[in-house]
Amino acid sequence: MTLRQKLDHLRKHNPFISSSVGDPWHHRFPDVSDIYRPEFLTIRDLIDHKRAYPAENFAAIVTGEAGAGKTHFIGRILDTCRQDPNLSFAYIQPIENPQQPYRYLLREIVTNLSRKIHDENRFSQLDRLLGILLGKLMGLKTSTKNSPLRLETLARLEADPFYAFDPKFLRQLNRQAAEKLGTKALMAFDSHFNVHFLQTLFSYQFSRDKELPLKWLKGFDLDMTSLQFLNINGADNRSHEALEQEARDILRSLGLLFSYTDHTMVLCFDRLENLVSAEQLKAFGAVIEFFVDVVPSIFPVAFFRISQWEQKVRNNLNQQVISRLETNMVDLQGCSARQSIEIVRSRLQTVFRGEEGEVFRLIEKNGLFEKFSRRRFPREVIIETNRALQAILYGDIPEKQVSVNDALVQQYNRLIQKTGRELSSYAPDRDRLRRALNLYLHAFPSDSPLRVTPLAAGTKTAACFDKADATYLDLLVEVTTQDKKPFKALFMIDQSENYQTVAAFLKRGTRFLVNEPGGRVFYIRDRRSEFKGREQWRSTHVLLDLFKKKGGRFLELNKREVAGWYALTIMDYQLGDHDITVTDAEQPFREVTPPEFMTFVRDRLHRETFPWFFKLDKYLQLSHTRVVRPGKQ
Amino acid sequence: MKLNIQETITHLLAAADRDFLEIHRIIRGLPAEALQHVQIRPGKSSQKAMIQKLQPFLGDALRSYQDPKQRQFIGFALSDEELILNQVRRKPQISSKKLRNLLPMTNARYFAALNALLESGRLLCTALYESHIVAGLVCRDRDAGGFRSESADRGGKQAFDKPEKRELFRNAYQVVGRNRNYVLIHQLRRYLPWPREVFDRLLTELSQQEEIILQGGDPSELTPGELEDTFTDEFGYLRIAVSWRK
Repeated sequence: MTLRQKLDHLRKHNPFISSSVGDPWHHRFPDVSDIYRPEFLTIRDLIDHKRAYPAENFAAIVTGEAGAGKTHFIGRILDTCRQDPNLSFAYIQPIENPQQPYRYLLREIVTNLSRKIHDENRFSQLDRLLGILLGKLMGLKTSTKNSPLRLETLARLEADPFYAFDPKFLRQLNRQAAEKLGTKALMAFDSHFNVHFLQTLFSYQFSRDKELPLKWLKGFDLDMTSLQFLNINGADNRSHEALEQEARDILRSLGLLFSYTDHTMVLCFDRLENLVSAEQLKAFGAVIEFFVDVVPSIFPVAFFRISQWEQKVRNNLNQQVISRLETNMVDLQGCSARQSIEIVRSRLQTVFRGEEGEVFRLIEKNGLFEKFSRRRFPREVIIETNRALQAILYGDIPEKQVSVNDALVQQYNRLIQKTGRELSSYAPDRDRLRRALNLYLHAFPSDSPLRVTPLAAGTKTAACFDKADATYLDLLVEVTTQDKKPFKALFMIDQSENYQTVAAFLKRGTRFLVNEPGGRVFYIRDRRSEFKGREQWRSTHVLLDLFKKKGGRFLELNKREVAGWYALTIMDYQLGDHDITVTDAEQPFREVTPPEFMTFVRDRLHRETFPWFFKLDKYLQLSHTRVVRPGKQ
Repeated sequence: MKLNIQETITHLLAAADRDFLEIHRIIRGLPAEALQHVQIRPGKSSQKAMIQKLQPFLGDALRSYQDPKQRQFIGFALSDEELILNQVRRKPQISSKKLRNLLPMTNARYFAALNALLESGRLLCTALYESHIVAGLVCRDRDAGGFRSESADRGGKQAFDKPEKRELFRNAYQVVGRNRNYVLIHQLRRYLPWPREVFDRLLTELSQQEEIILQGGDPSELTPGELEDTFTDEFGYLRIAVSWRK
């Protein structure tokens, strides 16, 4: 390839366009292992220590400014866990709902455990853990039955834990025997194991349909039929408190299981800048204490922007949590000149695979490396290189100025595509959908006739909701249009797969429509949370029909729509993390401010190009006459 | 002649970078004809008599001082608080006892002025000796008593060339940051009585030598005034905090 061809190629495959990692599970640029080597070895030693002493109480905190490479650092921890069969990894984004931190963590941890370890392999971290467990259990069966076949199976399991999912193996060990042996051995190891957890674990191992056991393990609210299928009795229709307690028990059991199998899990809490309320911080502190003091073999590592940690968070956590975290504190302080240059070289290598020399020298000649004369953060290095590259590639063409709104639309569209591709890593999440809804309804463009005012929780309505209803109501607003009387609108988001919970939502919605003439109700669900058919959920469908008849709107978001909602929430996390940057005439790069972000939401998202949101506007604008009034059907 | 004496004394003070000088140093610095004009005979006139004779020539900008040992001084016309602040700026972390010995004023006036400064928060006490003598006095407000910016500027530049400037910066870092490894630049800038360019130059130098890390931080947390006192590096990146390199 000539230099000209290489530059042409670079225009289409520029490895310096993105300076943000996103989710460490996904594609990352190659690691320059020399960067933050001592810091990484500190964490690596702590992981080894946790494995040697699973019950020892400690955690760690990694600080670093925006762009210091925190998420990339997490990626390096993930790579270590991928290579070591005795390590598992979970990447946890901020706790949204401080009332249900344990259910959230359980869902995220099990979602991480059920991810494929390697793209090319179908097995997950959970599969590996179960393989190790079964190997260990089979080893307990000493006895006269040491047949050559059994010894061979043991040897194979030891060499390859995924052999536990081989049909040959499954023929050899039936579920009942495994469950009986496993429950006995694990309960003897520690009596705090949750029995339902063990049952479901074996059910996952031996069932063809792994989805249902996984849903239970993730803390989903399942209906009686599903629970019966899992052989779990007396656990339906529970309060939120009971579900929280159960989530705690399962998390503890998970830790004990790790401990039993000599396994260690590294729990990386990222994007913690988005913990803004005192309740969220308190919940975060509580879960850190829980993992440090109660759960063995799980090593929590919190990643904070140093400014946020020092200025905001540190003063709002109790001393016990601070000391737990700060005992092992690592600060990411940027990279040296040599390391900065190595970042440039390694990214070019991903495009040219060894033939990057000419382009590298061209960039060098451009004077870029003089800017790396002192410690710089990796993001700065990438941005500066991109600018230098732009000058080389488009030197004669004046730089096109993109408005902040346009830049944000581009980033949002990219994020939708990315989220859509990786939707399996985003389990249905009511709190994230609620966050997107709140953002979207925050403001309307000047040409929209709609104005929405959120009503405080506990506002009296004719529907007379009481305390018990609070958990079902996500947002209550008053809507004013240009020429119509103001009316109230209620938004309820649900991810439950329990018909009793679903029925409770629908009944409340219907009551609201009956008692609030002209009011609107949205019942919103992620389609991946199963809403069973008429045959299975007959009475629920009757309620749904009534709800619709009264004018209620059932929004069942498909994959594309869900990606649109989650992408907005993730973008808001990125904003909180100062990860959204734009280039303007005055500064080489600058962070997008919250008001700019809200301007983008207001002026760009309320358009037909984003139908998953715009349908809310359309329904709110519908003439009242189209909504069937109570008593006029 | 009146103007000449005043000007000469001002130059003497500025050259020595002091707020006041002992009377005999002033007399040594005055030309013979000026002394003849005011009828001062060095070595023969008493300190008090010399002050009396110079008094009409001091104008509004200068005044005489006397310490508890009756020694006479001439210096810039400053309040007791300003005299204290200037001494502490020159010697951060000075003890109250040492400070007292450097100032030409009675104990009563010294205590009154010191207490007023501590109460108003313009002066901070950061350490105590075992004997409970107040040690480690530091100025908090860069602009407090900034009556002599030209001289202060020059003082800053002179001090910048000295290695102890870095020491002062490091001390300030520890005091302002309360021993945390993260200090906001605007707080540091306001704490240190240095001209902007001196402070910025030192930040750049320390960062280039990889002694400190300049952090981006969260500008949305700062007021416009605080934002103005942050730092933009030579590549256009806004830095709002500094961490010492580990």
